[in-house]
Amino acid sequence: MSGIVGPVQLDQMLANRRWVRRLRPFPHVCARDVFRSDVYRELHEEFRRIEREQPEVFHRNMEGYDATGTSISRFRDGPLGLFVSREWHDLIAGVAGVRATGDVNAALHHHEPDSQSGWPHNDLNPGWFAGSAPGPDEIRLEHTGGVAVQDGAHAPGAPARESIRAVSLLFYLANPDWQPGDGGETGLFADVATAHRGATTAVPPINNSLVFFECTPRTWHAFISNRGKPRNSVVMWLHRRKNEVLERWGDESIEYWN
Amino acid sequence: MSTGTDRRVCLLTGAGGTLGSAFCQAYGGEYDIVAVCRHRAPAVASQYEWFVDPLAPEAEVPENANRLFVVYADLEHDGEVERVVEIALARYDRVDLLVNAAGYSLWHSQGLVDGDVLLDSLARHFHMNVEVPLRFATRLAQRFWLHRDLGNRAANRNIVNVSSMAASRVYPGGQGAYAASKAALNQLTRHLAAEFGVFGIRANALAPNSFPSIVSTESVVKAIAGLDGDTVSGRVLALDAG
Repeated sequence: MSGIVGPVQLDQMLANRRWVRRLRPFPHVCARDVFRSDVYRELHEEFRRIEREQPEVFHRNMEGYDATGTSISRFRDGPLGLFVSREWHDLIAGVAGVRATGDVNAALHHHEPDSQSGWPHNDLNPGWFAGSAPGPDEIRLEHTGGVAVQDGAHAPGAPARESIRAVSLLFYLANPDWQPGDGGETGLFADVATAHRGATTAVPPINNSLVFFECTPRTWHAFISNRGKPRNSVVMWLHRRKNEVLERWGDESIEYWN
Repeated sequence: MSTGTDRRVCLLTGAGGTLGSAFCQAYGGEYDIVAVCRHRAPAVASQYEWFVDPLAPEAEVPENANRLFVVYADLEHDGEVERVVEIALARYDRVDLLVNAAGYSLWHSQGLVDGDVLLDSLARHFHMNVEVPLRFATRLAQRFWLHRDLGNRAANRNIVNVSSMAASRVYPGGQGAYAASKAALNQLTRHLAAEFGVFGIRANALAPNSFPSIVSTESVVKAIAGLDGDTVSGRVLALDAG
């Protein structure tokens, strides 16, 4: 695999056909050994190459989240383009049971060793995208068409459309070998009231593994501080029509960006 | 609620541990397992988690055919054993095999006289390794087995207590409190066999050396199933390398 040329053949790229759907503390899906080793190796090396050759693209601009990040959109012609392919979008939406729009926000995240834990949040945030809704074979990425993804700011006359995050996904890659006690997990919480006692479930950042879930008002999750080792991941969100969220949970459930 | 199958019903404590998890993986297709877990559950399909094929998420997956029935319980808390027994009987109408695999162990390399570490651990060792297995056996007897001697014998119902080789040998590493509790479990097992035999329940203990370092976890799991299929009672079956 060297970049996305033509359709993505996921059936030939996946190694593990037994992903695990879990109900506790809220419905989510986990999988290890997601991709064939040669596919994973290219993803791993691409992340390392970007870190080494283009460290300036990682920015620290996420409030309350002790990490640096960069959009995948600028690397979509390489191996990482897999994550912003329509095939991957449809596969994740299908397993999550979500009718997603084709709007995708995807980034590489890097946590330095000893990064601070985040606070539990549910990811039920808006995302603004340019133009009309994508067609069935299209993907619309964030920050295209001059539309700011969080607040929808755009040039006069440029069409902008608000959708809501539908699925949050983390794929772990280019990390040192993980051992219990290293931290850096994604904590999943049953509730916020008892979050100070620790996560109900902690998903470890093991290379070539993933976790994802449908975003709802109660999908509380947070980064757990990593001790002594960095944590690297692909973080991405699929989106759904805002009307669906309004009908299911109401406007007050949406976590609008400040 | 009965499942309508002729699989034996196994109530397994410590199901999220190394041994319990291996038992569930090996015998999930042969037993209806009530898997009692504290935090972790075995990597086997249950009512709380199951497998999905990402390329065909609606398709049936063979690994989901026999799902564990997981009950989360902290057995150190009062009333939890009773709650688990009630749930197991409500779910399956019966229990054919009780495997007491949950346990507690604290080894203190400096030994018994080094501060109060092992002294302070003694009550917890005896609670988890002796009282909890006894409480499960007793509550199952009181609520299901006691007046079913013919049915118990016909179904070859029995108890397997997971003990340890440390119960009968002196190993280094500050295992005194742990070893004493497992020795007590062995003797308790003999008494269970004597008393429960009247109503047709067998009781045995399995005393393996360390697994998986010295004996394989697979061999311990096989030995549990072997005791279930046997007719012996009152035995403490040692399982060592070679």
